[in-house]
Amino acid sequence: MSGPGGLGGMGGPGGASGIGGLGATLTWAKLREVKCAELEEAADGWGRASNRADAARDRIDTQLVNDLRRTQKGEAARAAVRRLRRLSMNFQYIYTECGLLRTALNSLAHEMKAQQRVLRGALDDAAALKFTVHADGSVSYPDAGEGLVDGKPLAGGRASGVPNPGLAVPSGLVAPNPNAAKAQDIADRVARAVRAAGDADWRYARILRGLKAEEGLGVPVATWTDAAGDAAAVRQAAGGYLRQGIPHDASPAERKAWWAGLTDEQREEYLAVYPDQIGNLDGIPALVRDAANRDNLQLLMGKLAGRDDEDAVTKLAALREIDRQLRAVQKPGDPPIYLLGIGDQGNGRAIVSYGNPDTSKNVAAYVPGLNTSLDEEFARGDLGRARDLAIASNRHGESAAAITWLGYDAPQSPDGWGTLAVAGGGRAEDGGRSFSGFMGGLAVTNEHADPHMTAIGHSYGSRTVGAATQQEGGIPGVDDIVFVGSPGVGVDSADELGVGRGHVFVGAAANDVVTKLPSKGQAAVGAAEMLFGGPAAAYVVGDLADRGDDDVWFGKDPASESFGARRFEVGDGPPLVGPAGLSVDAHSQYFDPVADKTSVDNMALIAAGRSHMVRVEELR
Amino acid sequence: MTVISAQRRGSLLGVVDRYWRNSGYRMRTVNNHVDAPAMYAETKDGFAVSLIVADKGQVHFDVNSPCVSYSEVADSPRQATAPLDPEAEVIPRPNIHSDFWSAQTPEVGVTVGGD
Repeated sequence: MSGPGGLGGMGGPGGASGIGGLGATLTWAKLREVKCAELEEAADGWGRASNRADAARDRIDTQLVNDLRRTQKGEAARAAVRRLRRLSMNFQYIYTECGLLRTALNSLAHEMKAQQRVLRGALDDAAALKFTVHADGSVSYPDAGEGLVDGKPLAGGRASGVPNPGLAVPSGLVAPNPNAAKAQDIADRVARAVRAAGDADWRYARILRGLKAEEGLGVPVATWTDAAGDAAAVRQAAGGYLRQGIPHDASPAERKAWWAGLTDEQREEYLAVYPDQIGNLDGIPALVRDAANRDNLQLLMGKLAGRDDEDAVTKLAALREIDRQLRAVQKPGDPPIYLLGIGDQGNGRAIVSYGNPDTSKNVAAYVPGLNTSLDEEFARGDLGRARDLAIASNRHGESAAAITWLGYDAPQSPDGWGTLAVAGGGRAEDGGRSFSGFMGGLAVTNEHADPHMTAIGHSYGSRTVGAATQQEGGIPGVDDIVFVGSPGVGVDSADELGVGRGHVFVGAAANDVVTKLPSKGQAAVGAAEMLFGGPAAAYVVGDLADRGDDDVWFGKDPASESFGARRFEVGDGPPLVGPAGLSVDAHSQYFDPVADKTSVDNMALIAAGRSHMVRVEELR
Repeated sequence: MTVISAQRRGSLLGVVDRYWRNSGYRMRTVNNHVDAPAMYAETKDGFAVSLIVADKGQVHFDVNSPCVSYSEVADSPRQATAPLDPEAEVIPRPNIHSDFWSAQTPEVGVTVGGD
């Protein structure tokens, strides 16, 4: 920690008042003398402190805790692990806050330098014209021009600068000394530079004073809530300094090139100030996204902990569960976890990869469907599906990664499929665009020359994957497509998905009612009752009215012969009306290694690029 | 991990199949692909058991319990016969020779491919 300590007046938040003290009485002479290089040196010092904290945290998490857990048992070991965890959290907090300090100082220097340039330009112009710039910023100019009456040069004078453009209305009545307008312009530029610098000074002084921790060693939730606010403040202030650089509108390949072209210092600053944006940017390498999102996860948990509404409580429970999984000690053979996306917007976002998607030869991404949102059930169940798939895929071929992709707002319909929100394809279209971008990012960052990539859509997620295939160029990099429990995918033939019909696979359990949802037109009677609570009537009515027809909710039944996909074997699932009453479990067992391991293993074979070994089930 | 040769694979599947049926397991599905055969069964008390042959002929047995409430599962008290490298990210492929299971000849009296 010697870095910041050795920085004298700029060493801590108090340092802000070193320059902050200029605020009220800032003059152009003082502005000219501000040593921005010192601010940048101070920023570097905080940057070094931030890096050291990050390295220390990493060492605790990946070495000390794991070694202790592996080698020591008992209460003492558990207590030691708890203390180490706290230390790790302390380092993480130091990393975050020091990183913010660094960027705040750099950003202040950036703004000061801009105003110094304006000032220097004005002073140079004054010197060239032999004008005098006075201590108060006014500019005096010599006699010049010709009087209208006597032809003598017009008297010189003194112009005072106006800091706000547009306030001074030039008078057209006085015969102008040609120097007057020039002097006025110079005085205005000086005044505006001084005003802008004073503004920046004031703003940053407040931000830097705000970057303070609670007393004591604990890093309570409130401190993280505070850190989330700090990050937001620095982001807002540093907008001009960093943000324009993030290439949101570029292609994944261009973003990858942008990141590769940054210096280490620049990368560290982006990670410290915009972990939310870097972490979710397609085309950025997985390890970088993971690091950014793990930091942002702490900030998000802090932010949500500061609220007590239902939405915040639900999402916070999910984030805590994800955090728990990320921190769990890995056993040999466990697929390592990468957090490729996280967010609290809409119904929440989480993209989690089991296995490194950049180094794995086989990469599969699963898009969940109806009623999926960032809640605890998702964090346990839906993430577990990708984990199970990763483990199963790794058995069958080269290294495999499997991803749960909640990168869109899936429709929420507690009543089931009957409501209009589901009937519409709008969510799928939006989600399809995002999913296509995400896969395009993976195709670019994967280190294999030709990675094997698979898109898997479950339930409404299959409609989303279907929409993604209709983007220009299809889903970049994807070789195989799997639909399970699909109510239709928005197109009528496997040929329209861009991978060739031999690479489109469908799992449809005999007892899964969703795969038999009658088409909208035919379902006038059934739709109103198409509830998960009471689908029997709808199913029966629809089926009877629709016997032999292969149209479902979103177009052709992908398991039908006319659609032309390859149907793979899955369990039948429990019947809709069985001994235990009404059951729709058949719709959600495709990923369940207990209820339907055949389905999981078949998807694993496809994800591993061994689809020729999959058992094909008879088409409907 | 014991190497099970393609020639002896049928013997193994046959032995397991017979044992499962004799134990009253209900056979659910079978994949009869020659390079990736698999068998899935369910025990009377709802455990899902499976045997799959995967990459490089590696055999995996899995047992999944029926619904239980979420709980921590203790590590096995027994040391594995072929312990994994703690740094290993994926399970290594078969690498241990067995005079019987790795033999390149079919077992006498048993037809390759099970029943």
